[in-house]
Amino acid sequence: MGARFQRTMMKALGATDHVMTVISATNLTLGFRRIRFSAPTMIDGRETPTASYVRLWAPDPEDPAKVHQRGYTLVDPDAATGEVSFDFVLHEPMGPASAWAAAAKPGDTINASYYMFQKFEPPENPEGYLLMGDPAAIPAINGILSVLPSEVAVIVILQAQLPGDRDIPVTFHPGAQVFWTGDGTGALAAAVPARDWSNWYAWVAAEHAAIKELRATLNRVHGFPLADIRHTAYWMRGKAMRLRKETGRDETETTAPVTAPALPQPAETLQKTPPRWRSQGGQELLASLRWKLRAAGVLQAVISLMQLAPLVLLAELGRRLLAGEANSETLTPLIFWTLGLFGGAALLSTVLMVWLHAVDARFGHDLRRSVVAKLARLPLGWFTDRNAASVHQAVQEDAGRLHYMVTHAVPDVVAGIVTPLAVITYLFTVDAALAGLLFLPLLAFVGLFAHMMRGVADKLVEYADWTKRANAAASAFIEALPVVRVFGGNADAVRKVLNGQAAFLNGWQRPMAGRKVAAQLAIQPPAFLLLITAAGCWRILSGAMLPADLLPFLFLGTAFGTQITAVMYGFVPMREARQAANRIGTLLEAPELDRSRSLRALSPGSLGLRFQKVGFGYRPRKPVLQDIDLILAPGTLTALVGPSGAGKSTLAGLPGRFHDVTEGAIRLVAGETEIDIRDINPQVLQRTVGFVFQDVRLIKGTLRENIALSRPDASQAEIEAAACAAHIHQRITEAPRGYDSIVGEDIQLSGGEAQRLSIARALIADPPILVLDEATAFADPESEHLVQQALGALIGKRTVLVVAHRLHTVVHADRIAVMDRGRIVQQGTHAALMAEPGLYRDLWQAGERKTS
Amino acid sequence: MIVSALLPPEARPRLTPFAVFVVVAAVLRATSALSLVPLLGALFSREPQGAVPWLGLLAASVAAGWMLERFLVIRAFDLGFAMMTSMNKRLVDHLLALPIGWFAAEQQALAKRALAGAVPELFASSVNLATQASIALTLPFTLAIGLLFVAWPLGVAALAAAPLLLGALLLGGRLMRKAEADFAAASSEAAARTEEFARSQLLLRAAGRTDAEGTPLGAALDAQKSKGLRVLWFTLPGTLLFSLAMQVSLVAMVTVLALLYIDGAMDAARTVALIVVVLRFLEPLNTLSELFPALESTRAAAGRTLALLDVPAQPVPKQDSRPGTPDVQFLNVHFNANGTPILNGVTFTVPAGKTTALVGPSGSGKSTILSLIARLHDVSEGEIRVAGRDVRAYTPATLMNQLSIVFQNVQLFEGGIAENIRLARPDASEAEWYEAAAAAQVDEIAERLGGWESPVGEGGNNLSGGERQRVSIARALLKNAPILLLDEATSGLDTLNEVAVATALARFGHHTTLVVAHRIETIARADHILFVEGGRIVEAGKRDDLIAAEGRFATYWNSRRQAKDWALV
Ligand SMILES: Cc1cc2nc3c(=O)[nH]c(=O)nc-3n(C[C@H](O)[C@H](O)[C@H](O)COP(=O)(O)OP(=O)(O)OC[C@H]3O[C@@H](n4cnc5c(N)ncnc54)[C@H](O)[C@@H]3O)c2cc1C
Repeated sequence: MGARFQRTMMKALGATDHVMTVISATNLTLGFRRIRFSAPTMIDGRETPTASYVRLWAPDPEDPAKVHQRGYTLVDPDAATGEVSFDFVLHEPMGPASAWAAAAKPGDTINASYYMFQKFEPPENPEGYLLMGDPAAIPAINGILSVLPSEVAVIVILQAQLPGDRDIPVTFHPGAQVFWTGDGTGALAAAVPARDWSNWYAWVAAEHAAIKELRATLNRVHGFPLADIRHTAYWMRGKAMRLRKETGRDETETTAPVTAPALPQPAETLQKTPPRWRSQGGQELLASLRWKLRAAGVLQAVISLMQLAPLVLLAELGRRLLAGEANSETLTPLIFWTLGLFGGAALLSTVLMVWLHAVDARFGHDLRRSVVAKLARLPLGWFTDRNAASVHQAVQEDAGRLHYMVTHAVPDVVAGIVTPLAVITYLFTVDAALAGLLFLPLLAFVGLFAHMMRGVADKLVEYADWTKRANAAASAFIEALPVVRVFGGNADAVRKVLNGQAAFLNGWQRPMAGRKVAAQLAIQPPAFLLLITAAGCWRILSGAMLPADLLPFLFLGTAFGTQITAVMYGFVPMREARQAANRIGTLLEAPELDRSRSLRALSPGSLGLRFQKVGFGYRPRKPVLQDIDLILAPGTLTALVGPSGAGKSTLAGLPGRFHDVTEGAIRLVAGETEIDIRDINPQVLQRTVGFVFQDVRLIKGTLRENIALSRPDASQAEIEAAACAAHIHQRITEAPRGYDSIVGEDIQLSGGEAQRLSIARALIADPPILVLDEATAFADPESEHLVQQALGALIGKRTVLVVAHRLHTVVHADRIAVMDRGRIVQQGTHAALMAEPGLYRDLWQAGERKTS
Repeated sequence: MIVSALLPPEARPRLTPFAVFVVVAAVLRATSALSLVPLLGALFSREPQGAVPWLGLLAASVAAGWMLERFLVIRAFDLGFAMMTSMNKRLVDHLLALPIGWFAAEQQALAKRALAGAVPELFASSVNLATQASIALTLPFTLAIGLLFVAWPLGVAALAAAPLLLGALLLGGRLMRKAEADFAAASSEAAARTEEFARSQLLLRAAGRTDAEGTPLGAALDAQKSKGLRVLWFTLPGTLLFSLAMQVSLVAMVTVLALLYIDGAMDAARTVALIVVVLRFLEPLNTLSELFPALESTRAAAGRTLALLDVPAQPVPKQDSRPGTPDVQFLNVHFNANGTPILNGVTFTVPAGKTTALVGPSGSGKSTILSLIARLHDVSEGEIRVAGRDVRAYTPATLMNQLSIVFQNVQLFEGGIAENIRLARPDASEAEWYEAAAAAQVDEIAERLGGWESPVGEGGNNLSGGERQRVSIARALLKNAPILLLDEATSGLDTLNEVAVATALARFGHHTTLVVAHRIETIARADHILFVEGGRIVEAGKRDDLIAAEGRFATYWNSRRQAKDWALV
């Protein structure tokens, strides 16, 4: 009741500030105080991103009417209770915020406005995280530590400023090493250990000067690209924070001179090769374009000037007219010049455009080719759903963004900058006073706009929240619609959210609409027209200006406002393109399969396979498979069984080098010789170990091409024989164009049919070793028995490893390996395994019990 | 047109005054431009003071224009807001009336985009674009007409130029769009091939085919490159057309003025002033060309929304019917989907209180039969009767009250497991729904996910196909309607799922049941079997009779029996 009342009051007052009431306060150390607040209006169920913070309005100790704005990080927000804590550094000298915190007791209240642009958004899968800061940054670092996955490497370097600081609780993270340094501006920068920081991500926050130095050190000494350092200045030594100055994130800081701090070890001695970040790939990608784009920019600048020149000529024409010097002899050349310039500009434009398109076509083509080439070199295990999405992103969306940048954005931005600049320069030479006045509407615009933007940060957050809710509600509504209709529910929920969103937009935008128009009108031509004529009249009448000098202003000055604001929009696609290049770069930098030693060929003959002490994990310290010892004797069938998540499919993929083992080795056994699969030429290996999965891939092409994929030169007789053996021949002959029918166009194959086709394909490829994963769970019960017969034909005399989900399908296997949590826990024949107590018998009996 | 279709009927009359005010605003802007003629005339004369009253006129018209435009924006806001609220309501209402079968994945995406994306976008552009764009569109014409009175030859030139310029703008825009669409199509093809290449890596490497050369991928990449250059034929005129038209118009009109001056029909000051007016005449066209992309995307958003509203809704009878004995009858039912026949004259009866199984190869139309009973679609020809009446004679609620439904692509909505089940009968007691859930083996899922309130994920993502079906069975058990329609899952089958299906069939033993059966245990439970093939019922009867007849069903039955006991090697 109380909370709701409060919220309604707040809303009614139109305030975006939230009142927070102290519940409790504890000094965690001498100089570090945690205060828990009740803040129901602020912590109201929306998502709180990691390390987000509020603007706290701390009362001025002297003048209670004044408040100071200070940034503080949310700690343990609890949406259910509407409670949140803040940790306050009680520094000396104290400022308004720390003084308030030092004296705060339960029942006290303080205002805060919500602010959450401080998001923790690291790039994908960095090698590790470097988190650095002083006590004020500990709340944020704690927040970050609690969301980092447990298996990643983290280095935390904290600066102790007061004696008790080292006791400030730091959130536990299994992969984190925590170091402390002493006080002083350069201490953090000096504390960065020398090591290979390739692909690490740094998050740093501390005192302004310390951050400046730290960032420069990370960048220049340790090689961190600026894009991989997230830095924030939290406060300034010897200076109270000023209003709205607390973020202090100034991108130009990098140019500040730095004195290289003394490091524990010189970095060079440790690093043989310079460190490298995946995000660099994108910049290198764009580097090849750089001079071309620069040249295009210069050309575009010339074109823009040529397009402006006729207007200057027109002004000249007007001047002559007024001076009475005009007759057809003087006018005609002017008109011809105008025509000539326009024509020339059009011609150059054409040239520029043709050239840029040629550059783009080339660049895009090379880009796509290198993505394709890259794909062919990545380990097969890389091709997960998520990575498939990144391929999509790269070749579909990001390539498009780069295309847009090359062909449109660059000329647009250049034109957008050159035109107003040239205009204003020219007008200054005509009449500086009047030209100066042209900035008035711009100032008015900026003023009105700033006024309008006040409090917009909170509104934007709220709006983003509504958009998200509306999206979610619409999705949920539409997805549930069939259910809702079947069970007679209603659409009240979605209506409520959509109406809420509409009401929010109305409440937010309506009062602003008037101001918004005012801002827009200020920079539109009529405003400039009025300004120019009024000021011009005044100056002419007072004799300060020649009447003819007004003409250039009337010709060129009225569009000044719209031109200058248009530039702002041009930069968005440029930034998007840079991000796109970064993403593509990251893809192109993904680690490849090590082929350095993969040279050997194989002599034909029957083959076996041997797993020796094999271990594997996607990330260090997080093994997926451990101590796998397994022998697949030539011509035998081995089954992998076990609960889901035991690692069966991962293990089955290793012989094909989907991933390389991280421990031990997998060897091909040919008679007496054993060869590590990593030593074998990848092409040879891939022909040796074949895979048939339940999830069948058909390529776009004819049925014949699909079957003869591995041997395009296979004869019709061979293909038909394989199709017959796989029980798919009949279905194919029934198709409109037989073996030449195109998959997906002439013929739609059911799940079972596609499976049989893939079996025919495997028969043509004829690999000595065969891995079947999930192949015995059937997509299509109606043709189950046909698939079964086809599989029987395929297995023949091969060495087979099968991942089995139904135990009874592998009762006759030569060997059954039972897996649990990444290890093989039992091995043997069905009979032997049934004879002993253990997982296998349990699984079998569980299956029996369920069906009976 | 589009605009009035977007608006709720009660707001439509407000469009005319809006348009009138737009014209007035354009007239005011034109006035301010034209007042330059006497103003500059005076200023450049020997008596510059004469300019002051005209300056007053200019100031007054600009100020009046500001006020009016401000008013117009607020008006546009009101209209946009009315549009947004009514459009939300119309869309939701319409979606509730569409045939359920319409909601395939693609359509769902469409509907989501319209509902959560297009409507706010339309609102935003009605606020930000409408006024500016409509004034910019009207202004050249008002100015041209004004010029007729000031210097008629120039006015005539302007009147001729205005439509030409607009035409160039539209044509240029269209060419650009065509170029971009062509390029996008080629890029999409290349991208799709690349993605296919990525997905098929295992296959391609096993086949030793890792080179793009000579494959559809290589061809697509090359095509993309040459397309990238070919689109120039549209891009070039697309971008140049408008700016050339602007420049030609400018030069032409200035030439007209120069000729007038040389002829002595006009004095110098007036000529110069008119050049300024000519520039003012061209300005709004520039504005339009800048707004053009935004206008285009608004139009596209409007198109999407209206297209959704154009999808025909399912007719609902005004008067409800009373259901009789719970049986189901198909009378010569035909059904086509997108022109391809799926069912070709199906006739059968599912007697009340008996279990009937639909059996047959995949793609034969079994699932369609079930979905037609639930009216997910309507038949193309013939009639389906449920409890003695045509399904179309019931209100949706009454029809659904007759049916418990367990379909293959089970629809779960984002929310807890319990919530998803409870929906079947919100007034059921705790004991009742728990019992249903346990009988359908859902308790095992709840346990795995960590509780009954555990989210099932978007569309039931966190659950396997079999698990989703179990939830759906629990729903059916809870609802306990007179007729059960059950489409047995084919994929993701697990033992627990089989148990759940068996339980459902046992519980509904005395209800009317129609089941699409795949497993022989399920088939064995049926009193009556309908064998479906190629959209027809080819055999019907008791199981033993059909087996004895050694027809299609008998072959099917035998091969299924063999498959059941199969083992590798
Ligand atoms: C995004 C963000 C999040 C932040 N989160 C937290 C947080 O969770 N907890 C927290 O304690 N601080 C946090 N800070 C830092 C905090 O906002 C500043 O320390 C703030 O200046 C303190 O205000 P004050 O009124 O106490 O002191 P001020 O009036 O700003 O300064 C008074 C004097 O104290 C000195 N001083 C200020 N801050 C410190 C300090 N941290 N250590 C030593 N001397 C200082 C100043 O140099 C000055 O001489 C955050 C800052 C930002 C930008």
